[in-house]
Amino acid sequence: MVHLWQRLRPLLWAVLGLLVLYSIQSLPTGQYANLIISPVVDALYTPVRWFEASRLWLQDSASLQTQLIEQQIRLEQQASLVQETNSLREENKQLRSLLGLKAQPTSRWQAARVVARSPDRMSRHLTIEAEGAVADNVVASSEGLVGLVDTADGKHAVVRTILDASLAVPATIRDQALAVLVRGQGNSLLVEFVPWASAPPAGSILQTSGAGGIYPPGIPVARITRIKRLAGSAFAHVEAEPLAHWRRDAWLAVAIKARP
Amino acid sequence: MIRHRQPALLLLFSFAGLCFSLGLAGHIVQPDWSLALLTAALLSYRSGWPWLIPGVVAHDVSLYWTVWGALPLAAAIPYLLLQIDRELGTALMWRAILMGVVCLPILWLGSGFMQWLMTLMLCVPLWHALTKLHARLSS
Repeated sequence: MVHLWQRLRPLLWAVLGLLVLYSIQSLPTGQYANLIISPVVDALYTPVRWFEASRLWLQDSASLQTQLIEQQIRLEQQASLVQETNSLREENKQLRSLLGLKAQPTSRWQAARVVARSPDRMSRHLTIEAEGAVADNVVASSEGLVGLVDTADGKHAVVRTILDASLAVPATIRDQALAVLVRGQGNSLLVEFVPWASAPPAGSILQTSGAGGIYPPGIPVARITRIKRLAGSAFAHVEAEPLAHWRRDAWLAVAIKARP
Repeated sequence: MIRHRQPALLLLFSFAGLCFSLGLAGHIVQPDWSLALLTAALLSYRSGWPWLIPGVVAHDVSLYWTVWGALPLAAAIPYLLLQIDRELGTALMWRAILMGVVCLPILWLGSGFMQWLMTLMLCVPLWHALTKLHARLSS
């Protein structure tokens, strides 16, 4: 009996080990590990931020003046855009009330500092400092869509970028009836359900269509890089690249959904 | 003193390596600090696997959100080293090959060739230093 137990013991340990690994794999352990580590990473990065701040402090005042003027011009341009957006929002509200549609949940964009990135070449996962962010909040940069918040702890949030294979973004091309799905492939994006007959040319910009209600419509997502005809299929094989450059951006924006 | 604290110190440095990998990604091309240290420790002291393997699990889970990265190969090192030492004697070349193989998964998890090469280049001096430290402590 004792002999049998001694022979079976390594096998039992191996089974137990595999069960533990399976549990770790099926639970969002990586996301929580990133959230736990993020304050330490943030603290380690503090000297770099101090350096950046002191560099800005010592920057030539003339160049700061130029930057101020540029920013003022941009602000004026954006003010007119805000005015246009407000009138469109009002018009949309009136149309919705005429059609008897329920009010859509509104989001407010909030700036979020990137604390950590996964070390792969494309940084498929990010940790950002975003107070009030919750799972499924949309994250974007000034160039386009970055991804979705996966897990958040109130102060930090772990983001899955659109390169992650688990995300699919409903997209379209501006002023076209095309409805496609943009799916992550690790290092590039795959655009699914593109009919060969109406396939857009390479270089076309895809933007969120708003279908599904998770991604607000009109956010640029990807640029089509390659289109190939698939034998025996009505759909084309379309590859794309993300427009956002989250690997170098220090700041991103999170769409925090307003509570009803 | 160091002998008793060595596992804790190595895991602490490995954790610091994880923080560097996460915090500096996108700013500089850097080696996988944590994996280099853990591989070097496994190669220099195979009996340390009970506390080094959980470190590899933490590495894979934190950086790549999977347990099937470097772990299966790293977990095989203690057994393979035992077999190699028994069959071929203390073979340095085989250890170097094992080092390269254990670091390979970071390539298919998305890291670049340069990162893999830098990890190996960091692993070699760490392995040398840890082997010397073990030799000094056991004499």
